[in-house]
Amino acid sequence: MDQELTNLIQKARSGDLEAFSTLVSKYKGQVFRHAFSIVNDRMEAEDIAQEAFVKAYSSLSKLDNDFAFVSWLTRIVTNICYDKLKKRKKIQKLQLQSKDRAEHMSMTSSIDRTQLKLEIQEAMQKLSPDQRTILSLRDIQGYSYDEISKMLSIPLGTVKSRIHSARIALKKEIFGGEHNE
Amino acid sequence: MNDHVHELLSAFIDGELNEEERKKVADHVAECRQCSTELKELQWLKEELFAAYHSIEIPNVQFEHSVVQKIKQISSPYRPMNRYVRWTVSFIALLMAAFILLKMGNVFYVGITLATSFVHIGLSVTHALASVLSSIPLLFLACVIISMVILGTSIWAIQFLLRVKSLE
Repeated sequence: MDQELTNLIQKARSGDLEAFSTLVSKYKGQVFRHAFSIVNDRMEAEDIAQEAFVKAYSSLSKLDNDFAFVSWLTRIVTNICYDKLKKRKKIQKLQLQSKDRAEHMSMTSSIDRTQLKLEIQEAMQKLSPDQRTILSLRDIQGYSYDEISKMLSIPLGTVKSRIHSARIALKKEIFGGEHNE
Repeated sequence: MNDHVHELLSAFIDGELNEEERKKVADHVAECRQCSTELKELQWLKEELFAAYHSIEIPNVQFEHSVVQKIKQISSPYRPMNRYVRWTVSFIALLMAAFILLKMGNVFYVGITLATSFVHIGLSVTHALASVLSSIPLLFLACVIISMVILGTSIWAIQFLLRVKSLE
C-alpha cells in the first residue's frame, strides 16, 4: 500500500499525469469531504478540492517525505479553505431552533436521518473555522491527536482542548444551550 | 461526585487518554449520571458527524479529468519533459545546426566579414564622438545632467506604479 503510494508520487513528480490521476481518485473523497465540512457548499468544496490537487501537483517537488503525502495534502486543502473563508463577504446565517434532546436522540433511528444530517452540517457552520477543521480531521477523517498536532502545527494539548470545545459547541448548536450547563 | 471529568470525556471517546486517566473517567462515569449522559451525547455526536459527512456523494470521475485538464493548462508551456525526449531533441537540434553551418559555409563567412566591418565602423564613430565631446566640455556635462534627470524620473515612476499595484 505504502509502496504503491510512493511509486505513484514518484511517477507524478516526473510528470506522469496518469499516475497523478490515480492519486486524485484515491484521495478525492477525503479531500472533498474535508473541504465540504469547512465551507458547507458542494460546488465550492469541489472547486477547492480541484485547486488543492492542482497545487499539490505543482509543489510535489517540495514534498520531502512521500509517506506524509496525505497529511501534506490535507494541509493544502485546509489552507485553501481558510483563504476562501477569508474572502467570503457574506456568512450564511442559518438559525437552528432549540430542539429537545430526547427528540434528537430518538431521531437517529427514524426516517428523518436526512434532516438530521442537514442539521449537523448546518450546525457545523456555526462553529469557528478552527473548530470545523479539527472536528473534520478527527471525527470525519479519523486522524489521531498526534497526527492532527503535526498537521496543524499546534501542541497536542491544544488539539485535545480544541476538539473538546468544538464538540461542546456543536452539541450546543444541535441540542440548544440550556442542556449544556 | 463533585469531581466531574467533563474535560476528559472527548479524549476518552477518542482513546487518547493514558491508562490512569482512562480508569479515572471510567470509574467516575459508572457512578455520575451527569457525566455519563454527556459521554453518551458526545459519543452519539461523533458517530452522527461521521455519518453526516460520509453519506455525502463524492465527485464523480469527471473530477479527475478536470484536475488533469487544469494541470495541463497551467503547465503546458513548462511541462516537465521526459529525460530521453529532452536528450533526443537536443541532439537533433545540434545535428541541424551543424548541417546548416556546413551547407551555409560561404554565407557564414560573408556574415562574419560584414559583422567585423560594422564593428570597425562603430569603433571609428565612437572615437569621433569622444573627440567632439572632449572639445566641448559643457555639452558632455549637459548630457550627464539630462541622463541623471531621466534616470531619477524613471525610478520615481516605477516606485509609484508598484505602490499603486500593491494597494489594489
